[in-house]
Amino acid sequence: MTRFQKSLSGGGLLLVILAVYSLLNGAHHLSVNTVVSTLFYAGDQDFIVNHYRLPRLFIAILVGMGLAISGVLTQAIIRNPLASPDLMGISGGAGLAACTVLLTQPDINPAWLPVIALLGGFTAAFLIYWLNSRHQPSPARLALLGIAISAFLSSCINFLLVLYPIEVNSAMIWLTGSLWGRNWDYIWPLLPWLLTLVPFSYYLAWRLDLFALGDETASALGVDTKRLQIMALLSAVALASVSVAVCGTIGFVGLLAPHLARLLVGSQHKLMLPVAALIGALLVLSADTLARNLAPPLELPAGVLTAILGAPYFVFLLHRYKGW
Amino acid sequence: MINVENLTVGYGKKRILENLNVTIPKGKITALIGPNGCGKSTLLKSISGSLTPSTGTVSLVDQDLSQLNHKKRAQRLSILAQSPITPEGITVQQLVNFGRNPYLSHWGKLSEQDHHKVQLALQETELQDFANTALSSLSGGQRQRAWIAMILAQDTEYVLLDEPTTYLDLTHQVDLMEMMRTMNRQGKTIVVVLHDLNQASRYCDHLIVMKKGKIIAQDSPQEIFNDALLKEVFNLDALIMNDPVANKPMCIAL
Amino acid sequence: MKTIQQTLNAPDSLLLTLIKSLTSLSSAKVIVLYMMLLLGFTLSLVGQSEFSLTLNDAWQALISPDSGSIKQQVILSLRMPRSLIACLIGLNLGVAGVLMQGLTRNPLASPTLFAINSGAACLMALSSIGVAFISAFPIEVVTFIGAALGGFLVFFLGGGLSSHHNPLRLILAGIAINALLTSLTRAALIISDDKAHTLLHWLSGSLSEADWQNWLQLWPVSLVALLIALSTSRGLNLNALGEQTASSLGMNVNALRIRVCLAVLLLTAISVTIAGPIVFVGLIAPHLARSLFGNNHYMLIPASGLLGAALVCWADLLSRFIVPPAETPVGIITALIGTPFFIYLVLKEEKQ
Repeated sequence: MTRFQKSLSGGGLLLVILAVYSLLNGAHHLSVNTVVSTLFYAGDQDFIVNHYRLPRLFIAILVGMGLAISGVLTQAIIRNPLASPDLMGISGGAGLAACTVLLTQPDINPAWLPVIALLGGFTAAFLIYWLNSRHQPSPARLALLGIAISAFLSSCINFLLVLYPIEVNSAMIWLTGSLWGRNWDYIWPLLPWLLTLVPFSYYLAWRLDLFALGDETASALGVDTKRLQIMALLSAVALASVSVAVCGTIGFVGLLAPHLARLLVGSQHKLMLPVAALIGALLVLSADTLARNLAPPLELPAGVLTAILGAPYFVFLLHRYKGW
Repeated sequence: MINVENLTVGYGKKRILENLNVTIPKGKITALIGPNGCGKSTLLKSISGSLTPSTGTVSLVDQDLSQLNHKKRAQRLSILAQSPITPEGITVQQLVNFGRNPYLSHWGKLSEQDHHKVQLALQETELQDFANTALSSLSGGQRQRAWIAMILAQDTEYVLLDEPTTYLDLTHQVDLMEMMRTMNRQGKTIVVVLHDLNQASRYCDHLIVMKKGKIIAQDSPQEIFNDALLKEVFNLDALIMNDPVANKPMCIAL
Repeated sequence: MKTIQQTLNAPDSLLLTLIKSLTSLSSAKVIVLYMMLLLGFTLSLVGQSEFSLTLNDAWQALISPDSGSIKQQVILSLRMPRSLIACLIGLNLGVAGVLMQGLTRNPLASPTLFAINSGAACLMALSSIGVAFISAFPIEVVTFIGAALGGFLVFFLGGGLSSHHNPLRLILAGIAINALLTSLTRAALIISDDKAHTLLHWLSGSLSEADWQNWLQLWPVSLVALLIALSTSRGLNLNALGEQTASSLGMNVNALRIRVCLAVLLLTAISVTIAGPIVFVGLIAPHLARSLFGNNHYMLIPASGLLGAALVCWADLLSRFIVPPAETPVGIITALIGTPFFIYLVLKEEKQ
């Protein structure tokens, strides 16, 4: 087996184990028999399994994939190992937009959320682009600027939460990212976006290898670099935004997943992209499962756990990074 | 034959080349020489299409290059950039595979013929044994060979080289120049930016001398390589002698 | 050369330094600054209240206190300590910021970006949910340890110890550690559940609970720390020339570092203990002070402190006006002002 196959099957196996664990455990422990019979025939535990744990399981996987792929695309296009949608302020923009609408119009149909988040994400992306357009910043400065914008957007969210006080768990969704209370209603609007964007990103994948050689060489090899850049960035922003629309900014997944994938299978995007997506799903799912099981019936936000893992890794990347 | 007509290019408001007209002969090795900042790299980048000119056209024979899409253009013309980025962990084989990109379909799968061309390119540059070695672990000379192999795999009639010898030691410079000659003998038209005047005179059939965005002279080395030109373009007092090996003019700075 | 001579000959005694600092601030700009502070202070005594307080009430409460009047009671027991605390905390943070920037020669250095704020907040939250050994200490000690921990982590992990450290890396590391500590704090808050809402408020930096008890806690520590801070003026002026030059001019660099660190940690820790992390004051105030009064630390330290005080005072006033009767945590206001300022600084740095 190649490293790619090993990573994919190993990760897949882990994902299945985690999925089973997350269905069985939580505030109430359920037996395997109960879960299986509930999955097929509903019954007493219908709500817990089919309408609480199962949708969260799916959302964790989808959102993790979305954030991870978005991270792969941004890192490739900006050629910056420190880039990721949350560090660039894109997630922040999407989160602010989604949260504003949800707080001011609580009855809105969740199907609108991805669209609104997209608007927010694109606005933030455009803002960064505009601030950078006058001079080409170094990768580290770009990261700093992105973080500064994220900080501003999250203080706006903070402020909104004062204007419209809500219950702590829901507030945490927008402050740190959490899957609390997310059900099937949130999956359906997410699906069409991911079903188009994920294959499209994979379609772009091998061109990103060429792009890594530099604009001039890539262009000489027949790549329309401008078009590739725009398409990849659009998909990156869209993927991050729709993911954030559902469960807030789950931080550092978009940074961590591509790096881990690169460690496992190298930097060829065709191999790395699926592995990164898998790792992203694993990260979010394990964070959410852990979040539900650390101190039941209380719940930690999943974003808190990914940050506890991701922030030290970011520091490690800084340590290794040479292009100051 | 590459025809450049009324070319004006610049970065932002600053114009590097203005209304430039030049013809690069087919089947020959042409060198672009001139002092730093004279616009030779800019000219090369405009020909390759990685810089978009504000006015003017670049055409291969009669085909306007801006009318071709990126892939079609890359099937006819390749360029080795001055300082291409070496992605982390990429192997020589992977790099040379990239040379086949202009011929690939949407999903980027290499055909039997593509693999054959890649093997040929590796053979010609004597890199077969290094196919699975990481590019970053090769020496400077070998790495430059790998990039040449990528260009060979691209299999174009026109090849542009932007200061290919700059970071190499003398042995590898000669090695690279010889490779360039071999490519030329196989029928490729080559345009190369060089800093070493004697190298340009020795290995090239045609010189284009530039200064401050203008073309000062263009012809064979025997015709134009003289002390008056060197004084005018480089502000250099030099003695011109006959290179006993290549039987071409060479200069010694005074 | 002349300035170096001057700084070298400057008096070292604390009293003289104090006098020098106070008298050096006497231009028109300073008067405007004092006026702004005073105006902010007065308005915050009477602004936005259920009892429609007037300036006259405040005046009466000060000169002839009448224990029967509810209005005067509100001013004396709620508003007065709150306004005083706002000013002193602003002063503390402004001074802490200027000391950090002076020591690191990094224009982005500040308690917020070096995770000193969030370190103190994190340990405080952990101790409030009863994490074993931490809860045993008094709260001031806990926040001090937290502040030190946050700052040290950033400095250590950001490569601040190596001889040619990169200022950018330090800041990015600071931000990452900040994210980590904030996450831990949030986790602690949620686990403590019943207190979550008030703690969430506190976590954004809020003065709404401030009382005389807090003031008694705050001022002695602040006074000591501010005196230490003032005593570093000369050292920081020399330090601006680079550590090597400073040390060849006879300055003990390590002693300066220790004094600055001690002052910064005390100032930040005690402020966080009372009001939670009020962010970005330590970044904004020193920059404004520098553009108004130049680079001489004798002047810069008190000026930055005054600006910080005015900033927090006005921000606190604003926090009561935005969505009455609810109060916006003052830290959110400073964040809303501070983050665009931060973006501006990053862009400005980029140009140089």
